[in-house]
Amino acid sequence: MSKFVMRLVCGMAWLWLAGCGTPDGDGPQAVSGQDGSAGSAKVDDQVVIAVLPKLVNIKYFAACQRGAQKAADELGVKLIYDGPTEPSGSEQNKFIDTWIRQEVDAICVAPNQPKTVRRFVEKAQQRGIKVLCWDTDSPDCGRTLMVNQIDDQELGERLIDEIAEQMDQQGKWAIVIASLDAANLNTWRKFAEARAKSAYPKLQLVDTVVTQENVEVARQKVETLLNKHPDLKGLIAFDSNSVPGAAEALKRTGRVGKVALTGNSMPGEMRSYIKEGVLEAFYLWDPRALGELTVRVAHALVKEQDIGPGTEISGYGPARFSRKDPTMLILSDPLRFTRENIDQYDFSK
Amino acid sequence: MRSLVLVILLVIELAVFAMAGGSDVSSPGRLASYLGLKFLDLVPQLAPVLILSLGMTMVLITAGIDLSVGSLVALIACVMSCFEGSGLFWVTAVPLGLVVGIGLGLGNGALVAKLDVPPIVATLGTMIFYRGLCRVVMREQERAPFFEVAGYEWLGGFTGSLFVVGLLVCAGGWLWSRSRWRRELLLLGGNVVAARYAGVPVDRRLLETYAMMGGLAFLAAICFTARNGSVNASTAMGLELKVIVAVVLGGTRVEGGRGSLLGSVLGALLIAVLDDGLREAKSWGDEHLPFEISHLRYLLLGGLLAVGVWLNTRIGRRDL
Repeated sequence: MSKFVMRLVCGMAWLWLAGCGTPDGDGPQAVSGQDGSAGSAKVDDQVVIAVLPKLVNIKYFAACQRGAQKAADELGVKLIYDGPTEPSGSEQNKFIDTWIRQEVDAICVAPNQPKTVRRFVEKAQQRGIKVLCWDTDSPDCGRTLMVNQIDDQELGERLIDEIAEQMDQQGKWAIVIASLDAANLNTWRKFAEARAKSAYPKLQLVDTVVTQENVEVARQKVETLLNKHPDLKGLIAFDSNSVPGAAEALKRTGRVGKVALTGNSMPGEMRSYIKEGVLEAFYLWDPRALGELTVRVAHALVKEQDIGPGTEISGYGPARFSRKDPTMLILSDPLRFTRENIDQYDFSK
Repeated sequence: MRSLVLVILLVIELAVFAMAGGSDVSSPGRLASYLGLKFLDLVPQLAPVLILSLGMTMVLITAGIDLSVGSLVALIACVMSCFEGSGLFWVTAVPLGLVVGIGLGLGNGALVAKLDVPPIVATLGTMIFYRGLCRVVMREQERAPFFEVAGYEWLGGFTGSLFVVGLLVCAGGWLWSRSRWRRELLLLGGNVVAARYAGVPVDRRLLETYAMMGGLAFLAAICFTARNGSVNASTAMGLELKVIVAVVLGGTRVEGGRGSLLGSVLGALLIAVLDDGLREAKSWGDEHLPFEISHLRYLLLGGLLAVGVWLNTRIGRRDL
């Protein structure tokens, strides 16, 4: 018995040494202690910016990461880009906890639980960490700024204008959306619905289906929807997984050309559908630019620089703010992708 | 002895991740503050898993299993979230949550004890069924009344969670060390026929065990919502697997007849430290490595489980 424990202890000691050895060999973090803060991820005085997407391992947020990394490299800051594998708020909170403990300088969060992330935002701010939202907003959480990809009203109205034109401004239409909680998607949805009521009285909204950020779920639910409403004429899909799911459903049920489809999605995933003519056009912004702008704004906040309308942000130009919310930065106008221009865009590089 | 091995594993894990996370642990004071801060975060994060693993140990001892706890926690939280966040919450939503928890736990127990459905099948069924009920209750909404209830948020903080978990562990430990109830569970898990001949009321004990699991699911739901503040229909997805891994890692036999509460608590800690350590290590930077550190999560979890169980059986055999 005791022999076995001895062997175990020896093994443990070896592992410990191995654990110590690796970082020493690699250098930089071995000196991290000099600023006197326990648990810090800092190397000397390097700025550390943590970016928390809604989830990792999907193409959209991978594209954001490439932009964020580019900005971090140019600014010489250290970027931590990590998040949960499911769009779960409670998992995101754990990441915020870890980063607060490591004393990062800024946390940029795209909250899955916009209503209750406040508790963790306040905890971070008490430790002097700058907090901003990106991609999706939580206006009540106490964030300093929101980096929005788009003017919400403009995108929502563009989408409904597009689909109304393709439907000759009359007939039944439906909404496909990832969830009814994601703040950004639902703001666009509300603007689209409002515009439909005021500008296109002959359009009739018949259904709203929820797809949980999943292409396969979107396909199944849209197929059911198409069967339920044989006279449906238009679909707006509000997230990057719902559009390809809906396009696949149109193809499989043979409703291509009879049901118009638009929405916002990634060009890589939509290229084949656009070329086959399943849909005429869809919208997006450049997610790489969103990641890049987020890191640049976070860096400016850490350096205590003021950002107001017109402030020059390198690699981006003068800052543009929302007309409604003075703490909301706008990245750009929506890009419209069609058969003609889709080959010019590849966000996976 | 078994617990000692787990403690050693835990120390190894903490050491490895303290290094890999690039943290400064060069003096005892700094090490203490590093561990202290970590502990402050881990307890509230881990409270639901800890609470459930106590009950799951008992369930596994009876040679059963409860796969439905994740869905049950979500369902209780969903039901409670339908009430308005006012002072009345304490006398309306909270008791109702307890009733739902114990009632549905009893339902599981009835399936297993009275209808003789194998536990894994019975609770697999209720796992899916309860998740379906969550969708019915919540549709696709996120509801967040919890932080508006006076005093509720405290339960999700460090002191609150530690209080609940500590109370439960003490109560469980007391029950564990001296009760006839526990010995009857062990007997019925080890050999149900012998237990029947020995006059153990088998069906009743099973019903009690699953009902208790339901009650603990209620407490876990309280701790979860008090920390995170909101629920939707996919809350706590996969929680049951974390709990089962923790309990098995802690040295409880899946075939029944043997189990350790302390082991389960240590097992839960091992998993949480691994999870958290990987997040820290990610921040240190994986640019030096040919792979992403966060992709290691399941690999290491599986490895930890295999090693832990191997050590357990090895030492278990020597102890006998």
